[in-house]
Amino acid sequence: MADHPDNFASKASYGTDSKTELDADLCRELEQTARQLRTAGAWLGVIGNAGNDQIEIDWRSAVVDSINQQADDGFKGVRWSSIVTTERLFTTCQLGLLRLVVMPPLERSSGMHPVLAAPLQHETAGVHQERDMLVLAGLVHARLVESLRNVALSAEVESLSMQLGNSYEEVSLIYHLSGGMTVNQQPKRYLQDLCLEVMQVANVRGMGVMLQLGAPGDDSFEISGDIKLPGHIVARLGLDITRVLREKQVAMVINQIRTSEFEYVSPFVTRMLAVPVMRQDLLLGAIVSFDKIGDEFSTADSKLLLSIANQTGVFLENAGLFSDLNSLVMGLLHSLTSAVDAKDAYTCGHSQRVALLARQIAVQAQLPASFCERVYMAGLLHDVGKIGVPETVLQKPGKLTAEEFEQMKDHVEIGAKILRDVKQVEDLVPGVRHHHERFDGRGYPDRLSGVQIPLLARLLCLADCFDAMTSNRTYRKALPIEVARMEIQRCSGTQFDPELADSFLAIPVEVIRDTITSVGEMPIPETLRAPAAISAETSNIVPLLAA
Amino acid sequence: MSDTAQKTVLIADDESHILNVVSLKLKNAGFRVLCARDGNEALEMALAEKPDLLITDYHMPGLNGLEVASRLRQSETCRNIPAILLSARGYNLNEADVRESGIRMQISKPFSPRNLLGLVNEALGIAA
Repeated sequence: MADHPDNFASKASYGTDSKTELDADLCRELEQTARQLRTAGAWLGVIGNAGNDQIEIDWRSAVVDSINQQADDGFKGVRWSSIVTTERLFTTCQLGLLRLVVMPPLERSSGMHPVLAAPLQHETAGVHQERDMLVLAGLVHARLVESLRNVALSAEVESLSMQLGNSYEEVSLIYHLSGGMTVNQQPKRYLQDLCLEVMQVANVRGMGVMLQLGAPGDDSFEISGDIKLPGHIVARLGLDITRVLREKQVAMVINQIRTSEFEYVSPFVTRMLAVPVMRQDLLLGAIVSFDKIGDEFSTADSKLLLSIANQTGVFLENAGLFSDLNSLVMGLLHSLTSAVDAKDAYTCGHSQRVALLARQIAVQAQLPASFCERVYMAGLLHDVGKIGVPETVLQKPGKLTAEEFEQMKDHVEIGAKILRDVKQVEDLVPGVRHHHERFDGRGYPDRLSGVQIPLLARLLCLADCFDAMTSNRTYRKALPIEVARMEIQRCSGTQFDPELADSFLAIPVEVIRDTITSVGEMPIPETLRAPAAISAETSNIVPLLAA
Repeated sequence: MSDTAQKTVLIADDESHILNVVSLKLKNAGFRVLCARDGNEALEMALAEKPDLLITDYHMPGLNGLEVASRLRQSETCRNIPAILLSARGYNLNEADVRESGIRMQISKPFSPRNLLGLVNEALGIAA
């Protein structure tokens, strides 16, 4: 291709200094057309005004070769104005042994005129030749105009496709991120994932996320990616970004860090984009992009990051509300069970211990994690029905009469009734109602046996009996743990589900001892500690209610 | 570039913006790209050109994406062409139907062109 004589890019210039560069697309179209014209004995080239009315020629070498020096010399001394009479018309002229048609300039040709040339024919044929050449030049010109328009259109389609492709990336990112926003996910974890995703799509070198702004000793500005900043710079940058975002509450775009107030990060970062994460009017944090690769940050970048920040704000708000609600429910449960336990000083902490033990057995039996948490809740609530049993019965030292025992047995059904209408715990009702059933069918209230007894109830029964044995009661002293374990083993298959009894016996004695001795001041369960980042003000509810 | 230069990918979708975006992404990655605008055209082009990979939309005029893939399975020369199905998010296709058609990879719209390129490389066994 490079050797082809029709190559306009390696143009043979006439004149001393050729200043005009032809557009690459135009060159390609000219070359292609010229190649076809040559088979018809004509040549295609371009000429333009080099200034001072001199002609500048960009002529394929084939013409120069064929027409030789004579044609070449023919242009010398010819005035531009004598060839091109008007910008819009086709002009014919004769130069040496060539007949020329000069065409109007094409778009992107910098004022250069395409020229059709053919060797001069015999004088008698000259009139025909001139007319034919004008027709041909008209067709050639139209074709060139059309091709250039097509080239421009495909370039535009390509550019639009590129932009559309970026939009696809962004939309798919936002879809993906909102899919990952489940309320029980840790906000920090969520934001770390978010950074990795955004870095790929936004084509940046690093990302930073800040939460819980302004807290004393705040070290929550976490930077991921290929940006390494010394600790004191991170701290200062975090504070400065916070200050600016708190004032402006809009995106902050810095493409020239050297001349900005963030000049001190310039050894590490050249460009920065920061957007606020807001909950209503409250600044919760910021998302920061560092160093877009190969480009400046644009409004499109800040829009994308802002929409992610908005989603993050909503996510954090939901996570906060979820955590508040969870705290409230758990706080109420704890106060309810405390009220029950308070009716009988001897059973203080019993519900809490049963909850912990039952969950431990469930975990040991490899039951699903979500179920294990329900087991814990059920443990807390299993004796809630004792609220309806007279204290004289609950606290009676010595053996109960048959009538008193009937009153005592009522607590399972009273508990089930209390919980039945509370939506959050209605799934625990079977566990509460049946936790005094025996595996051999001799329990109460419904004399269920084996797997007829709900799994939850079988777990509670085991934990309940074990804690009763190892606690002091009005009628006897606590049994040692080892003795109680032997009792569980002895009653496996009669009172207890043998598989669950095996799971229980597989838990090391020290673990069980730690569990039952840990209950005293009633610890806050782990589930309440979860998203600590969000609502410092409302998480106080739990200790207050539990105290 | 060199090991993808000879690979041909056929994309079938009746939405031209999808064709444009996907073909640009794949061309820039060095693939030869063919485009079909409906199921019948896709099948004809696949049988004639024997591409290395088919990327097909599910909803198309004429044959749908699964039908195109199933017909290719019946062809002696095209039965081993891997295929990626583009489906609308939330539109639940019967998993058994998808498996039956021989399609092993799916991506739902709106998809990330970057992820799609990853799938293409995976399907063709090209290290990213």
